[in-house]
Amino acid sequence: MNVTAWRDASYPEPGLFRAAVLALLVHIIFFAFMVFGLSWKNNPPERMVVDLWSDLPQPIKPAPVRETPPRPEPVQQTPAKVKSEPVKETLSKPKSVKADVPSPPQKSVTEIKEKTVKPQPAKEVTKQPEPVKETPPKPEPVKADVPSPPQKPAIEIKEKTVKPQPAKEATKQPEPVKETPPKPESVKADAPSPPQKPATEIKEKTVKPQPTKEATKQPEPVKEAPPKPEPIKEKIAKLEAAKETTKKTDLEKEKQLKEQQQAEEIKQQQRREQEKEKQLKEQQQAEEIKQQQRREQEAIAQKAAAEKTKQMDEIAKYKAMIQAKIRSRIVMPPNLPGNPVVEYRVTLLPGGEVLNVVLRRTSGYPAFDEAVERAIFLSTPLPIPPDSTLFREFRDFNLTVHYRESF
Amino acid sequence: MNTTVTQDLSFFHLVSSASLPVQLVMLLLLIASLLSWWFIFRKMFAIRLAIKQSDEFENTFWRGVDLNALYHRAAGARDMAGSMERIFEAGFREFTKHQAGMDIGAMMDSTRGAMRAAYQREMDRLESHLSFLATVGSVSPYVGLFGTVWGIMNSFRELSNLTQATIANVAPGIAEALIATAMGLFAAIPAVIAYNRYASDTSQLATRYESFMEELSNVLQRRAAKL
Repeated sequence: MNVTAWRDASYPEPGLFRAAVLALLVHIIFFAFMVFGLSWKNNPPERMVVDLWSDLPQPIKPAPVRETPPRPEPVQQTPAKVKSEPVKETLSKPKSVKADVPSPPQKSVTEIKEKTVKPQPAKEVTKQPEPVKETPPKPEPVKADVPSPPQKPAIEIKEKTVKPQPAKEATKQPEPVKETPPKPESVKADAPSPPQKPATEIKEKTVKPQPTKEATKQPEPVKEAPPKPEPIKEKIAKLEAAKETTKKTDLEKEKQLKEQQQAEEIKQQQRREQEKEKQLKEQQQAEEIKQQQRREQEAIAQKAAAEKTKQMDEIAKYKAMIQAKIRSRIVMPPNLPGNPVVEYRVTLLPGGEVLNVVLRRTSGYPAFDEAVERAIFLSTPLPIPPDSTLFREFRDFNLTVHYRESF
Repeated sequence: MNTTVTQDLSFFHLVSSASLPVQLVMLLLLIASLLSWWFIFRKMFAIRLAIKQSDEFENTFWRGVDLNALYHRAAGARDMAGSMERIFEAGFREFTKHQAGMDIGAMMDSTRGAMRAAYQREMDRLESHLSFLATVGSVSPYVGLFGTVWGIMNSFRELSNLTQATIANVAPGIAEALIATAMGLFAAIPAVIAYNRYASDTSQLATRYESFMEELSNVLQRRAAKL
């Protein structure tokens, strides 16, 4: 039994602990591989952005496009400024006439909006100077309109002079008229069109002196206002009848009226002269704008011409480079008689790689044709100008190769 | 299973977000893999040592050393003895017991019987755990596949709730499910390789032991005839 006892005894196995450590090590390596392997793949691939161009961009065109848009903008901005000014004046100064004068821009705004329909195409077209040319003729009708407004105020002033209070207002009218020129000028500087309409508005508003305070903001009361001066006239008639007893006073008043009329006529003439001057200034400004535009156009044309010449030089240079590169790759078939010429139409990708080659004119020797075609494909990528605008010339181009160098 | 569109596809996230059966499968496979690798290294050391000891013992045995001295050395340091040494020890002990005027045939039978018993024990010891490697090698791919199928099943079941099915909805589920397959293969491949290698090694050792047993029995028979 002793024998069996020691026979059954299990002998210690070597390297139990070492085996366990190694097994763990293997698994650690395995899981490390899994973790890092998966995390490596977890990195998202860099995204490629591909722009598809139906046509290559033209860097020359955008320059005028940027220059033109700012011009129409001030036209829209200036009325807004003019609007804010009259509001301040109406609040601070009770003078109706002054309120009237700034008011025209308000209507002019609506008119400008209507007319802006024409300048808008100018924004869109940007290159077409024609709309700009159309605007200058508009100030001309201003001449016809401008003289008329002073005439009507003159009639009104006559009626108003009968009453002392309106007369005060009437006397104050000429002053604002003098003030008016600077404001329209600012408008004219930006947009010649607005002055036309302020003139017509002045006509309408000058008819009624009292309602003008309201009229500045509301054009409708202006129409209702005319009945009011009529009762005033009736009252004036009554007053005159009462005052007929004192004819001397009437004569004096008539004299005063005449003097006032004369003074007003002088003022009106001054106004006309001022308006004419304004018109002349407007015309001059319009002409200056035209001249500036012409100069800019000429400058652009000169730049474009210069660029074209540069482009032509570049194109010639790169064509020569392409020729040289292809020629260096041609394995010329030996002993061809004469100087055969082969012409290929080569289509390139933007990178300069050859997309397609079409035989346009054979040299008559298929060996030579094939040699050239092989050389074209061998010489990819062809030297291509880095400028994308110039590349258009190389998108499709004809390549003529002569058999002998000297041609 | 996660259905979020922005997936963290890191390994640990995939494992932790897996469904319970898949996680159990992965745990099972991890244990199996650990054990199989442990046995692989144990067997590697054991078989390498057995071959080395057999070489050494055969060298000393055939050099013509006195069998009694060899026996005493083997019996004295039994822990350090190799398989072949223990077979010799068992056989020689049985041979010395019957020396006093016994039938040679019966004596040699008992000696061979003792040696065969020792040989069986040694072979059993050498072949221990090889069956486990075989089991892991054959079963763990299926276990891993089970986990994968379960995970993919779940991910597709969740896909049915979505009106718009994209690969992103299924990808994480499949990825985490495939980890189970990866682990199963990781456990199975080395286990199969090790099993085949160790099976051939043990069979080689077995033939060596058997041939040694035959030779030893011949030596003992001649020695008994001399007496």
